[in-house]
Amino acid sequence: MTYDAAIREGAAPPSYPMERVSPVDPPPQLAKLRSGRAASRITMWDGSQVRLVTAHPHVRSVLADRRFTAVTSAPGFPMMTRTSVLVRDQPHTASFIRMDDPDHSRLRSMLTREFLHGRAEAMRPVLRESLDGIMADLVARERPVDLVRGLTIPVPSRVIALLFGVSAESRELIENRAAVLIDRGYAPAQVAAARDELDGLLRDVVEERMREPGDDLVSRLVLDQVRPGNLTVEELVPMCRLLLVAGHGTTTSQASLSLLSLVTDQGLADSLAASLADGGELLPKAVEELLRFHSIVQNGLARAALEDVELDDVTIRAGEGVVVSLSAGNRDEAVFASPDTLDPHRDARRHLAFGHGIHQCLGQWLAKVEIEEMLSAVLRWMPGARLAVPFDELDFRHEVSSYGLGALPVTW
Amino acid sequence: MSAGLRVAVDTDACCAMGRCAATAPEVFDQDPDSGTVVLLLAEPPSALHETVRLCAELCPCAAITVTEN
Repeated sequence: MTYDAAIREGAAPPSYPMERVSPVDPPPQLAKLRSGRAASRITMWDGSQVRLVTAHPHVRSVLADRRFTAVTSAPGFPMMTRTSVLVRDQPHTASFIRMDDPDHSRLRSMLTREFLHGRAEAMRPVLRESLDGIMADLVARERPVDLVRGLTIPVPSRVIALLFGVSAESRELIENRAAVLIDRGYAPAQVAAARDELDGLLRDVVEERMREPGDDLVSRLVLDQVRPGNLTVEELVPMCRLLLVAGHGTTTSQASLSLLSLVTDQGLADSLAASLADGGELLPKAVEELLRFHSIVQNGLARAALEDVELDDVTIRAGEGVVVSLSAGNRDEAVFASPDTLDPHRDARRHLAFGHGIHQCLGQWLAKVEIEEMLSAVLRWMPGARLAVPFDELDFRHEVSSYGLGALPVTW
Repeated sequence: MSAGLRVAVDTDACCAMGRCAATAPEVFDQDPDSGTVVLLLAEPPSALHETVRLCAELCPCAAITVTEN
């Protein structure tokens, strides 16, 4: 029986998120849904039914359409996890990713110039130097070496520390709490406690910068926005939390899976090594493809319809929740030929890994520079790097909202 | 005469992501402070048409309009 026929006969819509079969591919059920109607029904963990959007053009269309709100307290808004309820019930703690315009753009525009393409490129030399230090230390260690603990956690962490101007010690305190926020394995009460502690730590950073501004992002926001009265400290703290949560765990996840591809796909490793010896032009292209292929925001993005919207062959009613699957859209064969093949030579720039619309990832240039530099560092320092454990023993993080790896043991 | 292509940008809709300027730097630039799009070539040569169409598609905020004539 087809999916649509089963629903007509009263079968409960499939529960979401669906299960993966291969750890590096999205759940196969998503591909079936993508070939059906524009928005199918799914059942969430709390029993609620919402719409799931899986095709590339439909994902784009929902994310670009302001009739779909990102405000968690809107009627029908999908609760992605047990802790989503927390965010809904405490709207004062929401960051601008959970706002619509004009509130969203007022806050986001204060950060735009910090994350311009040119600013990210300007960080590249600093990052490369820091990476050479990290790699020199890693290759001196006993093999195998875990590239997650050794590389993909510390690099985004150092970048955040540079942006915030914080010491290694407070960096660790801050990140321990940030990690709890994106892990479904923790109970809502634990997440709430971690978030409150994190906000306390970030408030300390903000207050320190108010007393003594330095040359960092938080200081610039204090000087340019808080002091003239454009931004309150109550708004700045969630903004810092967003930068931390959105910029750290996600980069770690995407870099870890990209490195997994590098150490398990000989073709990819050979192409990149050859390119690196010849100017490295393939690297940014391969990183776009790795973003498409891995799409770490594994369960997609939530929205709710503010009014009735026609999406191709489906009418989404006002007050209905919608989940858009970025990973399903990125495997849409109508846009990417042989979508389940990782091909570093393809033009993957239409991928949706950073989302689409006004909420598209602000830190995308910086993330790409970080991932390019991490791949380049492993290619240069650990030529011929390969997985040091059987593939089946890898610890894939199914419970974390940004899909990734617990560890990546390699030898070379 | 080959088909022409006209580009227009909506600076109010622009969310300063800079994908256009990175993809077609001959046609688009960004204000160094705000990041807002600056249109350099309203009628780009035909060699750039495909890239410019891609820019319109990649723009997260639909701030680029391409008119074919």
